[in-house]
Amino acid sequence: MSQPTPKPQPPNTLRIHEQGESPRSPEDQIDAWLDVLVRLLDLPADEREGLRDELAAHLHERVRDLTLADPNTAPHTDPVTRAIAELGDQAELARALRAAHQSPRRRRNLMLAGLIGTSAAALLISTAALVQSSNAPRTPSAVAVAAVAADTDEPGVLEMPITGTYEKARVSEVLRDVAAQVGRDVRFSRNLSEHLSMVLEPGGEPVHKKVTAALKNVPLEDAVARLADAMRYDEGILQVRDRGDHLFFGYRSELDEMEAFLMTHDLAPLFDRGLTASEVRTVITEFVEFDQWNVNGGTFAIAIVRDKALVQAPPRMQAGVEETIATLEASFARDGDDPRSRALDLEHIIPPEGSIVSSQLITSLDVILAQVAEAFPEAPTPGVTADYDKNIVMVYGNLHQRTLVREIIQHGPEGRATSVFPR
Amino acid sequence: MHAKADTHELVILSLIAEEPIYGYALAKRAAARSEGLVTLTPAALYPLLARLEADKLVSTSWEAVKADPADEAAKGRRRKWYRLTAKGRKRLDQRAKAARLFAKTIEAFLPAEGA
Repeated sequence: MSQPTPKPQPPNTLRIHEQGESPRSPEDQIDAWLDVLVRLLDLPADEREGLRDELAAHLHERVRDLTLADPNTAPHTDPVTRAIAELGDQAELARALRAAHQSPRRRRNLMLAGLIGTSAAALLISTAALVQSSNAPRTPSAVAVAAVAADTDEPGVLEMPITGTYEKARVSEVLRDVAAQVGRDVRFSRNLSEHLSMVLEPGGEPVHKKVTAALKNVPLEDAVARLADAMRYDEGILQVRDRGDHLFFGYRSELDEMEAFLMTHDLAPLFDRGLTASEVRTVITEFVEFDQWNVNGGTFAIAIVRDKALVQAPPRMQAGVEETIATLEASFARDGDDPRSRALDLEHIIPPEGSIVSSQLITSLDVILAQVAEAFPEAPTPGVTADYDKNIVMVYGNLHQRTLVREIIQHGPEGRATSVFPR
Repeated sequence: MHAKADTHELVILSLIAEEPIYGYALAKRAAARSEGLVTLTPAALYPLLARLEADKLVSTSWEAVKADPADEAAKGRRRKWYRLTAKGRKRLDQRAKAARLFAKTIEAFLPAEGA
């Protein structure tokens, strides 16, 4: 008697069994599938276990329903295989679950990045103007930040052009090739190394992450970002540092912890302008990478002692702290002005009843910014962004700027009063 | 936010508002209520539920699954139940308002049936 030809398995289902192997029980199949998913989650243990239990309950209930379904109408597929297939690809699901768990932080980061970005641009201008006008020496801490940045960035290497065409190539080999092009050896952090060559089953062969990408004279740091994009990684998954004789690749969280150091920031100029320690700490922990501070569930710390802020954080955040302090200082600096009118602050603006902060507002944010910039040409550019989930617009600027933005939100930008906010 | 994600969020919050519910039952109820027009695949449902929880729009609790005592494998299984928070209620109201506005706007442009 001839053996029946095995049916090809759908790509995102488990291999149930082959000749010579014992068929696994539905319980085992579900457990094995969940084992792989959980390994891909990269979340705290309790969250991983919670997701595992929830999906296990879903799968068992689905299998029961499929088993009880009318056999005349049910597809001729094993219920377990079908229930698992409905959950889709493990890597895709894991990515979506990771993103969902991180989304509040990431959304906030994006928002703050926008705010900090615009205020940082203004800061650069205002700080430069202050330095030029007062001829004041740079603070030691600011110099330290610049020195740290120079030590870690070495733009010469990270901006060197990379060229290569990679077709389903192992990521670890691609990164080796990238490093070789700039004459560097390569090292991976432990977590990244495990991630790139993951062993899914005890004693099993490692599954190597692969990538398809074409790079032509792309600066090294951008090339790494494009490889991460091609693998649909969040920006924190794959980061690169030049360490002299080798390139070091790792998760941003790992690199941050390795690079964190204690630094003092001088707050005396802010206290002289009437700001309190509490206000300064709030602004810093709200606007410099919100989720990274231990008060917000992160790793890094700030303590204010007398007129100094002691900050334990990586160079990127130290620079952010320094920029924020300088922004505050600049915004309170002018003689003869009412300090309250120049103080930068964040204001949440709720649109009028019945209005929606929708994607239609995206285009009008530029209009709002342009209108405010035109009205107050000498003031730092305000940050304006929207949180569509919360149906609010956020503006970071001085009192006059915030007032104008509030008026625009209430009445619509000039000439577009009725088209931006549907009523 | 993507229109489909908005719709899914409205559907999920609306069903959770009716009574506490767990993921699988939620997907089935959405399909039944919409006569199959709304399909919450697990790949869409569970990440969205995770986001709603992270945003504190829903609260959760665990319940041990009551199973046949003879079914050894079922022991220790648990279900995650979702309840709407006050913040979630506010979000649902916003989403419902937006959806009604959208429906009303579109309605104004629809030709009469059979026209």
